[in-house]
Amino acid sequence: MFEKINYVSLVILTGILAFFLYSGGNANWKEAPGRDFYAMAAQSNISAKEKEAKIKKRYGGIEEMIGAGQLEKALLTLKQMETGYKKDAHLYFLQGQIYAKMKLYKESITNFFKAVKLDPDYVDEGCSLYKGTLIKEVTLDAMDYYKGKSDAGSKSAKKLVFAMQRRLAGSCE
Amino acid sequence: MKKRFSQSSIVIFTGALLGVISIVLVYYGNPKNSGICVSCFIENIAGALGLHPNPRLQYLRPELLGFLLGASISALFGGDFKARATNAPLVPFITGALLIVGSAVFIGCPIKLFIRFSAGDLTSIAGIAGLIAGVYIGIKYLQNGFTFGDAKDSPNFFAWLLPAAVIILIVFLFYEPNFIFFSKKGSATMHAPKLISLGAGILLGVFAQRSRFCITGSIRDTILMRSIKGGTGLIALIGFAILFNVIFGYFNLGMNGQQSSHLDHLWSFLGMALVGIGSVMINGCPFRQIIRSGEGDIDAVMAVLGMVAGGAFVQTFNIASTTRGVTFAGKVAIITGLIFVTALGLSSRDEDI
Repeated sequence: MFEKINYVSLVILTGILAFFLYSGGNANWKEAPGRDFYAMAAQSNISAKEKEAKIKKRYGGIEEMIGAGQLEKALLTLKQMETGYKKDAHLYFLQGQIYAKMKLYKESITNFFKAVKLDPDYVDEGCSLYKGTLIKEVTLDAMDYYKGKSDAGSKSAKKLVFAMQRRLAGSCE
Repeated sequence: MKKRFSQSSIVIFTGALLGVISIVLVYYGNPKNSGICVSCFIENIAGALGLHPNPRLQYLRPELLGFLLGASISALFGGDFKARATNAPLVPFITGALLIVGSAVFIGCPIKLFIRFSAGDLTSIAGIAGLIAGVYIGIKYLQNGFTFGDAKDSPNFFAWLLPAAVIILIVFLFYEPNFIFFSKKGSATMHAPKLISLGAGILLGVFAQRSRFCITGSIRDTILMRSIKGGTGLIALIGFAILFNVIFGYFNLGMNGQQSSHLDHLWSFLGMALVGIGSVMINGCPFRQIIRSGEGDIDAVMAVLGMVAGGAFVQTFNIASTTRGVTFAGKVAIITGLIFVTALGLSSRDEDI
């Protein structure tokens, strides 16, 4: 009996594996979530001072726009920059900040995740680039915003917010 | 020690010591909920040896080196240091790698599973259920005759190889040569002072060798004996870890905001089920494999080498989960692992049993 169960399990597991690899496998292999080692390694080799200087030079004007409340203009500029600076974490961090000010929390956290994936320094307390406190505040605002909402969009947004809260708590990644 | 204390009291003491030290190491700098995590630390060591590209997970974790060294010292003095091996080294090697795969998908080895639980992380419950289910299935394989051969004595020279390698790695840990990688940022930089970690590891290695304490072994004995007497060491671990988490203010009951966790409960269950099955098949959880390798058990040495290879794979191939959940590669790896252990269970049987 146990042997039969095992043979059936083997067939089922092989079927599930084949289904997994067949359905959407290709896209998933290419875009593995969570880590981008090459970007992380590249960021690791840049000193904090260099990073800060680069951010100031490249994004100083945009940060001024955000400070002045010109959110749409700043967002448009960042979107236009995306083709040239696809792997620049700060591009996504600023978008996250703008979306948070617009109360578009799902988009905000999605962009924060993109930034953290490229450069985990944003949530590393030991780094000068650390923005964990700001991101945490956004997650708390988001929780207030989605409180009591149970539509599908809010549910998936809450899932994302919880994931960011776990990331901020620390993880081996 | 044998005369003064019963075996069960040594097991309870070892479990309690593991619980206490896991939390104290967090106080001294190890990542929260990861005071001791064999799979995370193996990934750190694989990174330090340049076996994976994650620049934030590279450190020669002294705790693991200490476990092995402590076990060797204890085995030498206790007369248990003896080279022995079966003739199927690939079985423990591949299964060892799969133990790390399952742990990386869950985010944590069986020790960290219970440390996470004792810190109030409710997402760990799916992992506990999976580990128990896995151990149960593993027992069924054993009862149906699973074996990969009888261990035979080997030249004692082989028993010295891994402890010697560990001594060299300890030298590298303090000397920090340029061919060993040490992260400058990330979770690998979060660690207790080297001497404290090494001392704690050696102490635990000595007691774990004397007591034969094993997480999955405790669950296996509880199931087989149908009594909690089999799991007293594990209960002591959980109890003391809860107590010290509360004392140090690390206890945080809930599902969200927990370190190193995700909400893909099905995959947490399956990941730990794979660890449970694999551990029973090769006679011990990742922690126990390290201890046995320190005694000269060549199969355990192969399992440890497999674990290091697994530690490299899970990072290189993006198998390890993140706080956003389980990766596609992680899901494929778990199913492939379950296919492997099922096929192994069916093919490696002693028909006479």
